[in-house]
Amino acid sequence: MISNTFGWIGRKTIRFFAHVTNISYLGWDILYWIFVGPWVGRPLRWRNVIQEMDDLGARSFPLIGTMSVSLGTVIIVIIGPQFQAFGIPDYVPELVTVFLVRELSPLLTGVVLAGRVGSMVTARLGTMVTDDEVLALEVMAIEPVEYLMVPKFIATVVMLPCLTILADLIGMTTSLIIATFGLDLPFQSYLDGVLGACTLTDVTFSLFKSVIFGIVIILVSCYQGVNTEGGAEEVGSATMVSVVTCTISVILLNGFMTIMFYL
Amino acid sequence: MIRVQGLSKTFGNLKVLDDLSLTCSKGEITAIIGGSGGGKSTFLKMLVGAVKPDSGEIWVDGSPIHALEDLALNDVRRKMGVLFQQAALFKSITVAENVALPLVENTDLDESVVAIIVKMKLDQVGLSDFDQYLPSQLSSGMQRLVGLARAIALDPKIVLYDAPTAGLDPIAASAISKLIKDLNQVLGITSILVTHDIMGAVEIADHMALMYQGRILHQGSPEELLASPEPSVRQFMHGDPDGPIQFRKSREEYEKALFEEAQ
Ligand SMILES: Nc1ncnc2c1ncn2[C@@H]1O[C@H](COP(=O)(O)OP(=O)(O)OP(=O)(O)O)[C@@H](O)[C@H]1O
Ligand SMILES: [Mg+2]
Repeated sequence: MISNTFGWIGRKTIRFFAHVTNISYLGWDILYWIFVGPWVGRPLRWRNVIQEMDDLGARSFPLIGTMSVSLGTVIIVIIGPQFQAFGIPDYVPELVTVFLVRELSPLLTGVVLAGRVGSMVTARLGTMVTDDEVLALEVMAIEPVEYLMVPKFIATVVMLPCLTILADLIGMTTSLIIATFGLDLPFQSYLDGVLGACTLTDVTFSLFKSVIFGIVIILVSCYQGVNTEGGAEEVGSATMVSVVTCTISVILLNGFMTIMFYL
Repeated sequence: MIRVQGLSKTFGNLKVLDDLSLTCSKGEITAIIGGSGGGKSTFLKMLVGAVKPDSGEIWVDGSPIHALEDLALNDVRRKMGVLFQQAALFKSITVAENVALPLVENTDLDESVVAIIVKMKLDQVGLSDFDQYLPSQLSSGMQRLVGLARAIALDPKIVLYDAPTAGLDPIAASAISKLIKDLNQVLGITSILVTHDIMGAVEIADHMALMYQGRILHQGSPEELLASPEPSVRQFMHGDPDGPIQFRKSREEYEKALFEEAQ
């Protein structure tokens, strides 16, 4: 029984590291095509990149916007009255800013994109593999990594920080409006508080996190997609695994990076 | 031109190819016939280096496919066109863009020239009116025709056809057979034709090979195979359900399997 459990853990661990190794190889391959490819006659496909930015990023905007409005509202509604009751309303803008910019915006934007990118990319690539389309690319002497994955990679890694900033702005604006009109905190001093609290370090840290999330999300999604074998059933389960893995990775990485930041 | 020697491939515990050897001469049409699930498509995929053999050698136009790395492999692949059994068109781009893809990716031709070539190739397969359709808007037979147009877009020296006439009406099927023959005679394209359409193959092939249990059971000119006294060849060429080649397990084996199932 005990040896069984250890065997199970051992096998899982080995599989996990095998996946991590393969994913890093994929990452190196993609970096090669981004930074070396253009010098050896394989220019980046900007048209596809823009297409993917639209598909994977811009279309997430309504979701991100809704989420940020709700987030900004909830935070200010919870924190504001509490601090007012303690007689320290000056700390409200600072706390809201730290929470939103450093933590919640990057985390939740990452989670939203993990769902979107994880499902779209894995399902698309998985279908292409099971329909022999990837094979057809290889046979036409087209590199699938360069043709299919590089545009998606660039799009995700660029769009995620952009969406995070948008989420920050929308969340902060919402909280500012509610603080002014709902909680009678003076507009000017709240705004000053926000601007004072929102340091360059905060913004950089939040963008750094979202870049890391983007890299992990797109690599996992591509990896799951191209390693699909079989048919529709397998594409479905690969997509599910991809979304779950991306989401969990974002959550764990966020915790890890925040702890490292404060240590 | 194409020579394979002692090719073996096992998927799981299913032996698909078992010490298969075959030579296809330059400028000839070699037709491969054989039972469904007999490994013919797998064999074609091996010839382009898309599936690696467990053992054996594959020589195409003097290059050892079994030993080549990706870059060198691509040089050989540019000389080859492949029509996949499921067409393997890219679902997100139009028919014209599909046919244009190998040209855009592998040549420096001007857009207008590419457009003309695409028009010509689509005309050859009788689909010039469908250039702006998406693959999903075509029937599966038409998709295969587009796949054929794409396979010959680069004017390759070697073309591999996987069931080009399957699912086509008799008129379209014989038109395609004629196209394959024309390409072979006018441009000297070396062709390998995998098909279940025995009579179509007999008409155009220079050489025929019957694949059974992962190896070439019998080969020769179409006339030789038609006249062969060998029972298994006769059975296959004339489509007889009874004979040495079994479609189902024998009655005894079947009863035994049922009995075992019940226990
Ligand atoms: N990637 C794979 N993984 C596992 N098994 C496979 C794979 N590809 C093919 N096979 C198996 O290999 C066998 C041969 O398949 P293949 O597609 O080559 O047959 P085929 O001769 O082309 O059949 P058909 O005439 O029906 O097209 C089948 O039993 C199939 O299940
Ligand atoms: Mg087949």
